Amino acid sequence: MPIFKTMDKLKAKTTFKAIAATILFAAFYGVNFTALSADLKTDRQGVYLAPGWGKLSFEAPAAGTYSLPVIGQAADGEVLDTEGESQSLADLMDDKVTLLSFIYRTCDDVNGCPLSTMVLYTTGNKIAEQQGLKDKLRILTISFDPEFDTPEVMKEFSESLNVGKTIDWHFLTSQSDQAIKPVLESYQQSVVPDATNAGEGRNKFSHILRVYLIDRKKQIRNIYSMSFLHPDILINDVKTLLLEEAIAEAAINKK
Amino acid sequence: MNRINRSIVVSFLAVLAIGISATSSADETCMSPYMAKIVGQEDFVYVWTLGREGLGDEQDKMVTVDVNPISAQYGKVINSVSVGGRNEAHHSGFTDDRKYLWAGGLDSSKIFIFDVHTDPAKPTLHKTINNFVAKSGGVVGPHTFYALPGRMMITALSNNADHGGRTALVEYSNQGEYIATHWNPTDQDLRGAVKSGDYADGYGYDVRVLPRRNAMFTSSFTGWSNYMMDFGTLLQDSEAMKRFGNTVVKWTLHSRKPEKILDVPGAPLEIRCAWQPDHNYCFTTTALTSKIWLIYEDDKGEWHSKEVADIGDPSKIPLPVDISITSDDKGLWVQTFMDGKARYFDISDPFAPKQIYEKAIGSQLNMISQSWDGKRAYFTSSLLKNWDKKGAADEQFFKSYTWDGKDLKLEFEIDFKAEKLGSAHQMRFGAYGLYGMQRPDTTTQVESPSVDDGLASQ
Repeated sequence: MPIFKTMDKLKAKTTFKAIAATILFAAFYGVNFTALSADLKTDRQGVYLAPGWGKLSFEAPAAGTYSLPVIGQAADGEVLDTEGESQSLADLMDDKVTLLSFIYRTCDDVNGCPLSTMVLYTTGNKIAEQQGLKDKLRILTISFDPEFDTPEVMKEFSESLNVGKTIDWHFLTSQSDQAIKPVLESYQQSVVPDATNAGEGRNKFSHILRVYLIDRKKQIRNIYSMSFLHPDILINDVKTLLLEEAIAEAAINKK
Repeated sequence: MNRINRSIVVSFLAVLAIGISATSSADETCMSPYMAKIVGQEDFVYVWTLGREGLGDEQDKMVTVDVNPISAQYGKVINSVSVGGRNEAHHSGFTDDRKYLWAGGLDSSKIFIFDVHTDPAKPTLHKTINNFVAKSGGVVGPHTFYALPGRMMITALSNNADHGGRTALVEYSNQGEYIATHWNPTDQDLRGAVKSGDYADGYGYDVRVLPRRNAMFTSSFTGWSNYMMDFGTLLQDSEAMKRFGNTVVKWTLHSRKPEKILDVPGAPLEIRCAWQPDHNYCFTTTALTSKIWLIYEDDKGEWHSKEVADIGDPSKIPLPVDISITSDDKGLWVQTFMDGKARYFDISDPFAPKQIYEKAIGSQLNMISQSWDGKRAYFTSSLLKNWDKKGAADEQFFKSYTWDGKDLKLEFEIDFKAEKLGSAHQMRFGAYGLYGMQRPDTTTQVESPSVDDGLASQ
């Protein structure tokens, strides 16, 4: 049974669900992450966990009380979907507010790709629960390790997360390292191959964790790293963009 | 992400995981928590240098010093990139991916973006921003360049309306495109902030963040009309001497909104925030009153400012300038310009810092950069073109010391005037390992850096 089906059956309080989700994600990714301390700040090895794994230590600013200035245009690029079909990133960003992340499937850093996938999973589910918002958000997860992350691998990954009917989430890869390179450069997603870990049968990378919030005009409106990658913040930022759109539309209609 | 090279370059996250019970100190801790850190031996120090009339090409330049003892070029200037004029070169800062180094001119308001990743030994000028004042809506004197994810938060010192101290934070994308201007709160426009004391001056200087508290802090210096004035003339001008900042502002980091204005009278300059996960405080020092101030959060989540120590004899105006906190939050280096001394304070009790060491470095002293392990400390001399001392007292140097916890020992020095370079100001570290590169003079594989970010201040 996919781990998320298991997790979804947990009808406990939010904190307990967060702990359960954390443990399940850790197990799912096979991270070196045996168990958590009670306060969710560290694992047993003393590694500090990003805020996204637990409760935010401050109240996320309320949606619509702040602005998210345009950082730049979200770049287009060619990617492959889970059926191996070529897709345009720009087309995939049509119509909806988009959250875009770069990962590699075998990433085992608890505060790296597993964190972003976990936060996007929670964000997508919470958005889907709110009336009128379910169809407003799309999530794109792109692998920068096409050698191992084939369309088949990404499909398996997608299915294991069991989000098909709940979240509009696309898992993407590319034909080759050369094919994904211009996309990474466009988004300034730094990825450094880790030569010292080669020979273990899989690629390893050092990379900056980034998740991008993109509006319906395909403009980047926020970039999250580990510290602010938390569902509470992402949800309010998505709502802030939607409120901005609603206000703009109302103003046009008034004229 | 992989944290696999803790001896060469690692993120603060990894360092925190390793070093939470160990003792280490670092100038790298003075930089944004959003970037990879060099915790082993740095290869280079990049020195943002003011051009001087009658010296060399007379232009501002980014000077690269080889500081790795295994290098055949150890202790030498190995590269210099001139920018085509003099701009009152002052501070610099890396982007979050550490591929580019942004450096500003306080007079021209130009920003020079250097590529430091293609060849870390030989930075090149990648881009120049010439329209900062127009784009920002009148902000003058870009000062601190502080990395946020995909963006640079830039503090400034002045404005083009009166060239006084009212100013703003300005945000740019890593690509060098303007994003937004966030004006500092004033009595005339508090912008929603709470004025907690006597001042709401709107002045600016430095910026630091504590993401775990959704907090950003700015300090306050003085405007263009003062920092470009001759220092002796300024000291005699009683009206000009009134135009210095007296505030630290606590902002909401995520929404960029000023929240609370704290009184810190006497021109608070550099801000250094503690790194340990439960240390919700930052230090600053006041140039005019020679005090260490603590900016701290109480048990109820309220932020306060408190004067916690004297620096030297304040009546003699030693003029504290750069400061540097250690990564274990136990030590604070404080440099004083007038007497040229480096002073080390024990800040184990942040409410009661105690000076435990001092050493005269030169006739004048401004900046310090320590290695992550605290074993090496580099010093430079220049404060501002018109504030540096005159004649023989105007030494311009880069000095490399080792620190054993008890004493500073000089390893080498470079006379920037004799080398016809200029006046040495701010320093930043470079390393091949940041970019997964191998040193060209060794067969040793330099492991990839870990580049986790942000958790430094969770």
